[in-house]
Parts: sequence; structure tokens; C-alpha cells
Amino acid sequence: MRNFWMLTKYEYKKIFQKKMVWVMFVVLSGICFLMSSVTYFATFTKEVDGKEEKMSGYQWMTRIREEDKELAGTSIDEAFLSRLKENPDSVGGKITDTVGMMQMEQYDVQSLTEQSLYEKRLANVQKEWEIYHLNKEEKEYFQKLEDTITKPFIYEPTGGYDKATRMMMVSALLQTLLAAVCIPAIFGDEHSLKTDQLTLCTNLGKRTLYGVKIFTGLSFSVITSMLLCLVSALPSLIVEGTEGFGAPIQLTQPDVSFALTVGQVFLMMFGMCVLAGVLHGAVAMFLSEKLKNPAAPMAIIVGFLIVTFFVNVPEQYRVLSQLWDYVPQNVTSWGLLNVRMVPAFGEYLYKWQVVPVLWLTISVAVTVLGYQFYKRYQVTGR
Amino acid sequence: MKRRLKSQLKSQMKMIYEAPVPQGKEAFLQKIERMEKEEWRQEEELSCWKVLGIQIGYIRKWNWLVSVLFFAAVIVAEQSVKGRTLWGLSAFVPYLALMVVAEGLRSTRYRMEELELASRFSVKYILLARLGALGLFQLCLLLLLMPFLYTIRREAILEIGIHILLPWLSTVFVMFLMIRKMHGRESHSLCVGTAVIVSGACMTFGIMNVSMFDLAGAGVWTLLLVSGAVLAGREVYQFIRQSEELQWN
Amino acid sequence: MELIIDRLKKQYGSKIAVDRISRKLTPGVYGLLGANGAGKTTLMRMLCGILKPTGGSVSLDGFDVSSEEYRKALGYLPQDFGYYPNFTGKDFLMYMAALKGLDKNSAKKRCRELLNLVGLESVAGKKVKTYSGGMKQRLGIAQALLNRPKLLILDEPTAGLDPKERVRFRDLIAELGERNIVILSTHIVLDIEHIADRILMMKDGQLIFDGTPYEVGGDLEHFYLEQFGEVE
Repeated sequence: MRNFWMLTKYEYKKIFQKKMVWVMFVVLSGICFLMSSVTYFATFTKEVDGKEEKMSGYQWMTRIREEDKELAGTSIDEAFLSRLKENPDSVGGKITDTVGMMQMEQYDVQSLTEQSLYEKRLANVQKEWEIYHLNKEEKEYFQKLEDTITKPFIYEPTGGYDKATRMMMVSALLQTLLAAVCIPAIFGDEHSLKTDQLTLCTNLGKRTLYGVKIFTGLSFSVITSMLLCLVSALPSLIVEGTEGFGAPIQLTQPDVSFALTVGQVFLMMFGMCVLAGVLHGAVAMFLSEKLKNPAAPMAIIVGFLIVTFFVNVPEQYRVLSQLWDYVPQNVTSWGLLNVRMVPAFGEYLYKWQVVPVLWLTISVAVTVLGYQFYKRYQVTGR
Repeated sequence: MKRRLKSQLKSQMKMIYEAPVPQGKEAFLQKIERMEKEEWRQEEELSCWKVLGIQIGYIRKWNWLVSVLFFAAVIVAEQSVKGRTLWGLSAFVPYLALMVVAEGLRSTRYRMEELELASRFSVKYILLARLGALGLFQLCLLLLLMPFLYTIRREAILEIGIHILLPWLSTVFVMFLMIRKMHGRESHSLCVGTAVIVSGACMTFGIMNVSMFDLAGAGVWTLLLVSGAVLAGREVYQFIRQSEELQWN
Repeated sequence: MELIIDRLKKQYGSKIAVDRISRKLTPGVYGLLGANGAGKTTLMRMLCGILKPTGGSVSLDGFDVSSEEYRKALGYLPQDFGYYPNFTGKDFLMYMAALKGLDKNSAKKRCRELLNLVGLESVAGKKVKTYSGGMKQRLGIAQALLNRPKLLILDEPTAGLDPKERVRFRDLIAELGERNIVILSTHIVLDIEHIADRILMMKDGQLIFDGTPYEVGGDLEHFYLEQFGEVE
């Protein structure tokens, strides 16, 4: 066991001795931080109490946060809408964003009533059912979920959770790149540098050696995932606050029917990013051992990532589009709460329930398969 | 049996028939030498342009193929898929630049530098061929893409040009700068890191739906594009010039 | 034909790798002997023009080492060289021939000749990565001879060759040395004894001996060890 940790230490040493790993981690963290905090440093000219005032994004968000606190407990009902129609500027905070999102395409306060607002919201929700080609049973299921949601919505400050959750798609993307570049070297370098002739002679056996490398790769992936997520999320949480953990998700995503809170979605997204890191790490290591090369897995993973930018499977191909939906990049870029479900044992499993099981299963499968290749490898033909 | 008879016959013949004394042997050998020298002079008739052409033939085929496939894929994607394609293009372009640099570094990677440095047509020609031919080919394809995308999309040609060319030029600049300042495997892996970082930044802007004009004005971007071109060209020139000195000099 | 080495020096910081060596070399075989780190490879690289000297100059028949004319007449086999892995033996030679300025037809003919000479004609179509160490070495010798060099510099040329191949190689070098300048460095004293017309010994960047095998007077290995203080 002592040897296991000693070997792990040396595997980590091999990773961290490369300047590239440090440069990439620092630069990618910088990008995460900038994307989540650049608006706080920018200067805006805003109209406040009829006067134009210049202020930084940070000052503006602090003001919004105060206004949100004052609006806590406000019911988005007829009374509120009348107040909004009478004097739109008297209502601050993010509540108007919520009202706008509930209407989606046409933001029009003057003709709004409580009934029409919630009807528009429901219409948007049902439109999504059509887009995803839900069948009759699934629609009924979601209708039941809809019926459990308390209306009118009671506004609560959602703090920085909404932005923090959105920013984690950036960290997930960049962690994929970090994993693609840094992790294949764990196995690939042994072949390209021809040190496999030495390391495979270990009296600890191939199994221990493989275990050490897998542990190093996966732990590196998990740790970097968590760090990048924190770098993305912390600026929003610090500036916009951490109140609103228990606020219903409908306040930031009105077209969602699930009974989830903003905080729960934030934690789910965090978990997904970490699991995506595990999946990418496992796949990168498997490919590098199979191909005996640290460069090819990088090309494959990055190439696949770029393909997700261009390729979209139309929803009418239900199974294919659902499988494509489970690709890490599509899950983490705000696709976590769509209405896709998997029927299982008389129940429906949501995406955030299926994805962890699927990704972990794939990770375990490629790890086991990779061991078979590793076990049988013979140093010849060089 | 037959063989023994044959060899016996041979030795008998040698005894009976003596070979005549060679006449004009020296003159004959000198003639051969002169012929060799003439052949050698003919062999020398290979201009540097021909050498460049020969070197281009040694560029790996898949480098050309990937560049052409990228061009074709963009045309197909633009016809069928809308959305983040411009940033997606920007994200892919640094890898094209990486291919050019990787081709230029093949001598170092496969430890052929010493042999190539000691040859008549030295490393300079090899690099000119590899970097020049492949780099110019990719640049031409990228420039050809610009008017095509302009006719299909609603963005201005300047915006399209910056999306396509700036990541390519900035990646080339940074990679060659690192290769010149550092040597060995470290610089190679940092080149990969550079391409990935530039690509990652473009993908990030793509998924966040950030317009480039949200980040800076047209003037700033144009200045960056021109600076990128100048700096990239300068670094490539310095790299080729420096290549004639051995890395451990 | 004359190779003039004039006060050639190479210094790395405070370490002097080659210390102002001057010589005039005429056609023949020169055996360069010395311990590891004596400066043999550094000297050879400067003679090939792939390493810039800190001081001094090298010229062949009046052409400076940095000129194309010098490189036209040069054949070099480095101590440790790589190869493009997917090249066959023939591809490798054709590639080097192109670098040496041979046109395609002449290159084909010359490659065939040399592959026969070094005994690689049967594996010419196979990839270099499948070759044994000795085969790669023979391929390296072949590429050094492509341009019929007047100046042939060989750094550990017989490393990895079996005894039969070494004898064959010695004969080839001896023949080349009749009309050209051949400088070869090796640790195998027997090779030098058999073919070198002159022996050059290096120690700490300096030439400590320059003479014929006759002047050594007997066992070269013993003489070599004496020079390096290993034997009383």
C-alpha cells in the first residue's frame, strides 16, 4: 500500500514537472475567472432615479442585490403586474427578468394580466414538449408535475447561483481540454519515451502499476474539474450573494417543470462537471494505452468537442438525439433540465439521474477494458 | 562431378592460354574517372527551386488532406447548420496552425537535424518548403473561405476575416516564439498547449454567445489582425534563420 | 586537396571543449581517438559546419566551412542519428540524396549502388523502424557516401556492426581514403590500427598526439592508455 502512494506521488510528479500543465491550468483558470467576472469590472451608464449614473458592474450588481432583498416574498400576481405597468422603473432587482423570461418571445408588460402571464408560460412549456416529441404519457406526466408547482410564483432573491451555474459550462469545456492534453501522457509517454521497458519490469505487478496510473488520472481530472468550477462560480457567488439557495428554479428558468431549487440545480451542475471530468479522464487514459500515443487521444477528444459545436441531431430522431444529448458537452451547456426522460421499471428517470449512471458505467468499462490491453502488452517491434 | 570437371577444365585453360599484358590501363582508368566526374557534374545540376519542390513532396499527405477536408466541412456545415459555426471555425483553426508547426519540427522530433544540417541544401530549404508551402496553402484556403462565408452569413467580411485569421496568426506567432526561446520536447508540448488554449478561448466565446464586438471595437480587432500577421511573419523568419545554428550551439 | 583547420576553438561558458586546434589534412584516413568528453564530437561537428566555433576557421580547398561548396563535398555520419519512422531504407536514401542536390535519376542509381555496397539491398523496401541497430548504422554509412564526398567525417561508424561488417567497412574506408580525406572517431582501437594513415589523439579539447601508426611503435591500445595516464 505504501508503494501505491509512493508511485502515485511519482506519477503526479511526472505530470507537474511539465511546464505545459501549469501554463494550461493557469491560463484556463484565467479564462474561467474572466468570463465570470468581466462584467463586474466593466463600467456602465445606468439611469437611477431619473439621473444617468456611471458605475462599475460590481456596484450595479450590489445595488441589484439590495433591491432583490427588498423584493423577497413579492408574489408575481395581478397586484405586482399593475405596479409594474404603472411605474416600471420603481421595480428593481431581477424580478422583471423573471417576468420577461416567462413571456419568452414577446416582452410586453402593458397588456399583461396574471392569467395571461401564466398561460404564456404554460404555452412555452408545452411548446418544449412538442419540440422534444414527447408522447402522450410523458406529456401527462409533465402536466402532473406542472400541477404541483405553486402559482403565482413567490419571488425570492436567487443570488449568484444562476450565473454560477451558467458559468460552469465554461469550466466543463475547459476542463475537457485540460484533460485531453494532460492525461494521455500518463500512459502514452511510457511508450513514446520507451520507459515501459523499465516500468513493466516492476515486481509490484502490472495491476498495481495500472491502478496507480488510473487513480492519478482520475484524481487529477476530478481535482481540476472542481477547481475550475470553483474559479467560475466564486466571483458570482461573492458579488451577487449566496442567498436564494432554496428559491424555486422557475424563478431563473420559468419553462422548467421540475420541483427543484436554484441551489439544487447549482449542485447538480457541479456534480455533472466533476463526473464529466471522470469520464474524460477515463476515456483519455484508455485511448492513450490502446493507441500507445499521447497525441492521438488529444486529437480525438478535442475533435469530438469541436464536432459538438457543429452537429445537432434533430429531435424527431428520438433515440439518437437523446443519446447525443448525453454527450458531456451537451449536458453541461445548459442541457441538464430538458424534458428528456428514460422510462425504467414503470417510472421515468430524468436526465440528471441517467447521466451519472451512464458516465460512470462507461468510465468503469473503459478502465476495465484498458487493463486488458495493458496486461497483454508486450514490448516488441521497436 | 560435372562441377569438378568444369573447374579442372578452367585451370587447364588458364595454364595453356596466358592473359596478354594490359595495355593502356592507366589511360582507361583515368577515362573512367573523368566520366565519373562528368556524371558528378550532371548530378550537381539541381537548382534550389527544384530542391524546394522535392521537399514539398515529402510533406505528409494527411496535412494537405486535413486542410482540404476542413475547407469542405465548413462549406457543408454552413449550408446545413446555423448557430455557433463562426466561433466553431475559430476554435478549429489553431489546430491547422499546429499542423504547420508540427511539420516544421519533424526534423527535431525524429532527430534528423544533424544529417539535414550537414547536407548541401540545408535545413533552411527544408523549413522554407514545409512551412512555406503548407502555411501558404492553409492561408489561401482560409482566405478563400472568407468571401464564401460572407455570401451566406450576415456578418461583415471584416468580422469573418478576424474570426478565421486571427486565431491562426496568433497561434503561429506564439508557437514559433516558444520554439525559438525554448528547445526540445518542452517547446513541442507548449505548442500543443497554445493551440488548445486559443481554441478553448474561442469555444468559450462560442458557448457564451459572445459577439467579438462585445469584447472590443472593429478598430482594435483590425489592429490585432495586422499585428498578428506582422508578428507571425517575423517569428517564422527568425525561426528559419535561427535553424541553421544547431540547437546545442 | 587540403582541409585547413586554423586555431579552431569551442567554448561553453568556462568550459573549453576544443582548444585552438590547427592542422592541415590531406587525403588519407585519420583516426581520432579520445576518452568520452575529450571533444571529438564537438570537433567533428565544427568540421561539418553544424556547430559554430567560438574561434578559428575551417576550409576545404579554399572554401570556408559555411559555404555551399564545402557542404557539397562533405559526407557526415553522426554518432546518434534519427530517422523518419515510416520511411523505407530506400526512401531515406532518396530523401538524403535530394538534400545533397542529386537529381532523381542519379539519386536512384546511386542509392541502388550504395544499398548493394552496404548489404541492405534485400531490405531496402522495409521501413527503417524495423531495422536492427547494425542495419541502421549501415544505412547511415550509405547516406554519408551519396554525394561521393571529398571529406568524409564518421563519428563512431562501426558502433553496432558485427565483426564481418566491420571488416567490410574497414576495406571500404581504406579505399575511400586513397583519394579523399576521411576522419573517423571510434573507441575500437583495432579499427584505427588497421586503416588509419594518421592517428590523432584528443584529451581535454587538445590534440596530444598526431602521428602515424608506425610512430606509435607497437600496441596502439597500450600507447593510448599510456597517453591518458592509465598505464605507467
